[in-house]
Amino acid sequence: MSSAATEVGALQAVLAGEHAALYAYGVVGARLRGRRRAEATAAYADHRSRRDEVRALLVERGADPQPAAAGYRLPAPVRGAREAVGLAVGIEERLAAVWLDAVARLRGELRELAARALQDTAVRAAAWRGSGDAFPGLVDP
Amino acid sequence: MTAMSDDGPSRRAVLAGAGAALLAGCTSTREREVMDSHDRVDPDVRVRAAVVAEVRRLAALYDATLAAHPAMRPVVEPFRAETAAHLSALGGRSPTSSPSPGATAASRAPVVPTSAAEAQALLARAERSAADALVGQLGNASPGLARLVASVAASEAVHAALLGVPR
Repeated sequence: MSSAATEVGALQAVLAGEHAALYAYGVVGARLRGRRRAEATAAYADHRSRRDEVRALLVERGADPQPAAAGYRLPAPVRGAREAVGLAVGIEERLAAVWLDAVARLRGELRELAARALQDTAVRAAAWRGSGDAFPGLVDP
Repeated sequence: MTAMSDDGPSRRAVLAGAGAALLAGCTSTREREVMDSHDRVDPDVRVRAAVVAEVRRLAALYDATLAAHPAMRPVVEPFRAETAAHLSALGGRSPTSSPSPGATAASRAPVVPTSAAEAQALLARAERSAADALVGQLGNASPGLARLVASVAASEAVHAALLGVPR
């Protein structure tokens, strides 16, 4: 694969992840109140900015940014606040793995951008979880 | 989600590491040449060394902080332990496991603020700046090493965020 094709493939993969995260945070926010709800709203805004940034990068490269799916299947039913926080942790942890794949596939400035996005997603996961993570995004360190 | 990269030291990296050890006795006039051939063999050797040095500085700061403020252990210990895990994943040893006697080592001992709150703020800043330094090392790394270094940097960013928030 050419490096341009690799770049576009890596960016489309993180775009798909950000689309899914936006969908999930819509569900998360609806089940939370007060401070937690405000955090979910802030996270939603962060993911929307990332999504727009990645879309713009794809357009710059002459690629067609893939749209969000019509629907997403949640890993588990989200009936209350506890499940909502669990979904937020899960989506951020999975997204960390997606961004870390992008770090490996991209070069130069795009690799740095992916590394920064990984940090943001790891910080949000830790905030929801209340604890750190020695190797965010790494399945098998 | 599938990962398609080679984590861990490649055979090439291991061979380059052995080569570096064998060449350590070269005269200074040949050093530049050795470094150059080194780069051609595997730039990861240099990246890894720079990243290990950065993480070792953090580990030393954690040790010094805990020595000065034992009461901070419950808060700080999880972060110190993860920093030790970073070092071992990168193939480096913790500073305490390899004491290097001499004035240079002593002069580099980190200074810890007397106030626990300031000591914690210093740790948070040190974690944040280490995370930035590691991102700066990504450009020359192979995909496998970039993956590890970016993950370690993200963990440091998490430490900075959790230490920086008063609890």
